[in-house]
Amino acid sequence: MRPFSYVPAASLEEAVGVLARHGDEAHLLAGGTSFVLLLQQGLVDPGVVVGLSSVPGLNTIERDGAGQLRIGAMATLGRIEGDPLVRDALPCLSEVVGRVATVRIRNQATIGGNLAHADPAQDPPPILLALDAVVEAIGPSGRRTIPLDSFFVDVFETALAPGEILTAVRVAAPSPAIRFATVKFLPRTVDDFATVTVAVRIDPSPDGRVADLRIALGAVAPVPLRAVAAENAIRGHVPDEALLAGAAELARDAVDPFDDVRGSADYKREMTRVWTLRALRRALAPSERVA
Amino acid sequence: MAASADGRLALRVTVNGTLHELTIPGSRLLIDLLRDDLGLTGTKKGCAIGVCGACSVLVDGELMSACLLLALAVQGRSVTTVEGLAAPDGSLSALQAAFIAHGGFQCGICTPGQLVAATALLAHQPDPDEAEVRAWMTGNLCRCTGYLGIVASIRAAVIGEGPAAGAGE
Amino acid sequence: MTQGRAGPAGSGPGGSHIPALDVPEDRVDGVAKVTGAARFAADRAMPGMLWARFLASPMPHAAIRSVDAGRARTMPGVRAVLTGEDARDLYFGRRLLDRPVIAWDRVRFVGDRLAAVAAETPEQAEAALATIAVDLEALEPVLDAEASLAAGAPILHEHPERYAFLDGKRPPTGHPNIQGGFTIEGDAADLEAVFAAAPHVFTHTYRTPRQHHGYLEPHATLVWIDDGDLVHVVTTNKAPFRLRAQMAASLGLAAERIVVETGYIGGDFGGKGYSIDEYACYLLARATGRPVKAVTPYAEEIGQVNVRHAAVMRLRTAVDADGRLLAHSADILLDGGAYASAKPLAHLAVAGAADTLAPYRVPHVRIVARTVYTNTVPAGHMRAPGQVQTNFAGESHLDEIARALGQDPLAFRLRNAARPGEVGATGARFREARGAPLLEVVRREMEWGSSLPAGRGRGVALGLHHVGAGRLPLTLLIHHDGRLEITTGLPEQGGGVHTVIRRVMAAAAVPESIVAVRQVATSGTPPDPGVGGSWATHLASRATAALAAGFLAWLDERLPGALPAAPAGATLRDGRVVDAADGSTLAALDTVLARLVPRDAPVELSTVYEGGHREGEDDDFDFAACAVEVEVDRETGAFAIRDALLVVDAGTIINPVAHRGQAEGGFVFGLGGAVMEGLVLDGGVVTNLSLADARLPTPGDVPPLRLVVLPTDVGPGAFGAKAIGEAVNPSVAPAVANAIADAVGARLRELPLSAEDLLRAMHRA
Repeated sequence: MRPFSYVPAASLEEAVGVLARHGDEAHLLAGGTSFVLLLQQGLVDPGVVVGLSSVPGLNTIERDGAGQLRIGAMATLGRIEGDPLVRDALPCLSEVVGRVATVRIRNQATIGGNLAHADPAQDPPPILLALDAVVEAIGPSGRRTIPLDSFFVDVFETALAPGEILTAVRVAAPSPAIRFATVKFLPRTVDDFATVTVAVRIDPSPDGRVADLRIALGAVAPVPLRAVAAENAIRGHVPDEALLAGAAELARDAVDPFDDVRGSADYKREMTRVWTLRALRRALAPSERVA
Repeated sequence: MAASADGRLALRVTVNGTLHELTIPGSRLLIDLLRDDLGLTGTKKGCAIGVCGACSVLVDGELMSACLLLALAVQGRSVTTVEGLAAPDGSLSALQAAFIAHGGFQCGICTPGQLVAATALLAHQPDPDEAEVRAWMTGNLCRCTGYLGIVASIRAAVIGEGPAAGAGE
Repeated sequence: MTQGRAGPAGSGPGGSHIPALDVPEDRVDGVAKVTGAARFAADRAMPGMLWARFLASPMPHAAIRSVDAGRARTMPGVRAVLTGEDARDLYFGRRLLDRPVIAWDRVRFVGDRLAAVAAETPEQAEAALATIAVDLEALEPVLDAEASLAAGAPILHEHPERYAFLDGKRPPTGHPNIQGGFTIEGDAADLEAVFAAAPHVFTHTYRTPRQHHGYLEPHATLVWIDDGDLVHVVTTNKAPFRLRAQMAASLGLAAERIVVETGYIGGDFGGKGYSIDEYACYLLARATGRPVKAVTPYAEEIGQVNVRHAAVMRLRTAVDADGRLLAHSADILLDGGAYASAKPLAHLAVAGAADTLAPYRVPHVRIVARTVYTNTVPAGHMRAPGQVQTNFAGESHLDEIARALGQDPLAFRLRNAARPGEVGATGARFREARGAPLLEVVRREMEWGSSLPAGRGRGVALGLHHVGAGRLPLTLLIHHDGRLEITTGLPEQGGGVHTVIRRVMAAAAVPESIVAVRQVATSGTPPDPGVGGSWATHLASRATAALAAGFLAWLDERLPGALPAAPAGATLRDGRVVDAADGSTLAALDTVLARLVPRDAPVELSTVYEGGHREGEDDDFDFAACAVEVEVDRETGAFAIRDALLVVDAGTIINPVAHRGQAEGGFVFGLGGAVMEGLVLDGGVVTNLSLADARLPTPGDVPPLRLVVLPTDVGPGAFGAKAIGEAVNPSVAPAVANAIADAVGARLRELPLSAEDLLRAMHRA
């Protein structure tokens, strides 16, 4: 690590300006939980670090006029986990962020940093994909929104343009009829990155069919991804065990994991099948508490 | 905040109740500031990647890893380390006393972090059950005790129990 | 199901009753450790101190063509850069000095040092490393133990005769890639005939991985040379006198010119007996005239310091029709890594390497244990060295045999466990054979034999560990103001040895309130072996008992002078001199000592305790049994421990809180090795180099644990104390593997036991 200068940004505009001036030399700092690791491993070597914790209001969690939940990029995972608005509207999200790492990390890591870092092993992206979240960004050419579906490009790579800053994630509060199930499979120890994460969202229709659904998977491909073929196999049908089992096999075939200490690629594929099936069953189980 | 000519920046931070004003390089980590600049070596550097918890500190009462924080990220904030847990007259907190009585430590390297984390737990939830203690303390590794002595120590501090049973003197 | 301590530790009858030991201990190191005041080596600093960093070889095996540090020497803040040319022919080690301080001709693992830098800040030292140009010519590496002995394997050390060997002569090895080893033979002459005639012969092969100790304190050192040319070494080493001898031998210094000072040690588990940076820091201190500090970055700690030996163990056992063990042979091949440097024993293997069936009676035995060179991180001592490997193999093997014979695994063990008067498989003569009583507790506590739901199973394993012996000096200073101060060179690495000393004094009527235990540097006390090898409680308690007796005799002799009116039979009780006849107080001890000890000339009493084992005599062991109940998820292979039981054989317990902590901590240590720990290598490079990837157990991973202690008073320590630190951890992994086999019929023969391996094994089964 070489010495760098630190700019505590007073506003988003200032941060955008510093990034524009310094280009590749500049790096954004949110909670720092990944940044300091990248520094130590020499994966980033900035001359200028722009701190976002000094930008007022960037950690706000609020409901906007359209009834959407808007979570500021600098909201920590711990804050999201305990926030009454999130607990009320998105208990599935509260539950997932509450399973990330440890109390200490959740107190420091932010949702913006989590998404912008684009580490495929992170827990929040699948549930946010299942919720059809949208991220807001600001850059030299102004503000825009990016659907999370098209946000993740590759390992550590997103659709954010150079100099662009993720400022918030927005989620429409689902109707009470919609069911969720989330899984974080940890076969070694309770504190680890997942071998596979699954988030399932089911929009039931009154006639027993699945009107719509989303199945999102994490830690089993270079990016968090949706199991689109599996969704298509179920959408519009009355689910039975054979249908779900077939869909879980399609989910397995959609992933592209790599070997690591959390399992071989083959094992992760098979676990994708097993846990997708279990999550689907759980989301569809009549006794299951909504969300 | 003004940067000096050599790129050092001014930092105002309160540590264990004492205000410090320093100029430091932007890349200084809080753990190194505490240990090397302020001589507060109770906070330990273990894995240095936020996993082990030996460098646990409180920042405005919230539990954090000093190894993952730039010192400038605590600008204007209040930091508590293990050296700040006992009363000003040196008398031990209930948690500190319980860790001695109930086998809360052996080698002692993780103990500052364990005590800071446990202090944060009791501030957050004054009467945690055993499952809550374990869930909260999962971020603080201990290679000696197998954790049961730590959990017993925290529970003993919660219920105000004195030394382990048998200490009848 | 409750979590954690499931009720108080159960306890059977036995053990000496010493009232002073009934009270839970107040640890000598307590207040310092809970307030942050306790100083560890990395907490030390000196004015003008430089920081050292080291350049590690990126290749597992290579010839060094050149190392160009020219640019590094001009970097900001850099005060010295040393390469192998500055350290030619300097080797270091605990017994065999075969590891270069800085390599000059060849590197043998990813971690061999190519250069050492001292700079004003750690960042400047790090920056300078990046500018050093290294030209290496790759050589064919030896990546595992079996390859090391294959025909045509590269020879890693071509001139072993050049290596110094401390305290004696290196035993011959027979193959240049063999570091060392030993053979256990009991009635081996008939061994093959017994195998040939036996009704059943079973052969299985087991494997265990390299494992890091996982202490959270990385190695650290601070070295300076004072104006009198004394070399001062502050270190994390737990055997300061041995480090002094090793440094003297390596660097060509007189031992008296080196002062080694150890603070508190932040976790040892065997790994802190080995030091690396001290040698190069001495060279850097010599080159710069400044104090030099080094703290090992944790990634280097995991991948480059010293690890548990990976093992391949082939076990063969003959059994009669009734399930009695007839003969056993084992080939234990241990991966010693690039250097034998980290191993302290003369045979350059690990003591537990033959303990496959150590607690059992086996008439005919031949066990060959060997450590070999490979181009990987050097292996050394780690909590119960050798036993973690061989107990997993032996206790899994016994379970497989019992199941194949259709016998209950617990009954099978009971049938073969050595009884009093019998000799164990390795030839050990047990002063007290306690395997059978421990297994009976397992039967009762686990409701062994009762039926379990599908997917659940029970497993048990039995192990033992030798109670260490040796020679220990201790010194007592009697002060005019009534304080008694015991000085020792033994470091406190968490086991509680300083508290043992104070408690034994208390048991001898000297109250804790007036006894201080102070650790001193090697310049202030006679040599001792440090802590480790499960000898600390034995040696320290006996030496203290002798010191206490010496003090009482000293006092007794002088009482008439100090208290002329005192009746005959005056004695010390609760810190007062009392009339033995009616217990009435004659004088406070400090009053007496003030009369007997000059103000500025404390009286010094010293003792040397020597406790060894003589060939052919009974010897002392800690036995331990572990039993668990697991539940297996058949679709994922994931398994959870629903219930765990630890039954430990204990001598008279001196520190009850610490004893329990060692048992519980040993269980979780063993659990980590059972289910999650193990270094992963790719082409000789460790790939899980952080605690994010090389996971250690957390509080959430600890299953409900019940502890039952079976005390005895026949231990070698004071009042019959034994040891505990290394007795427990080896048996956890085989107990879990055996429970998994009981649950689903699939056998895992390699550690760590993983969900993925189990799923694959179930598919095969």
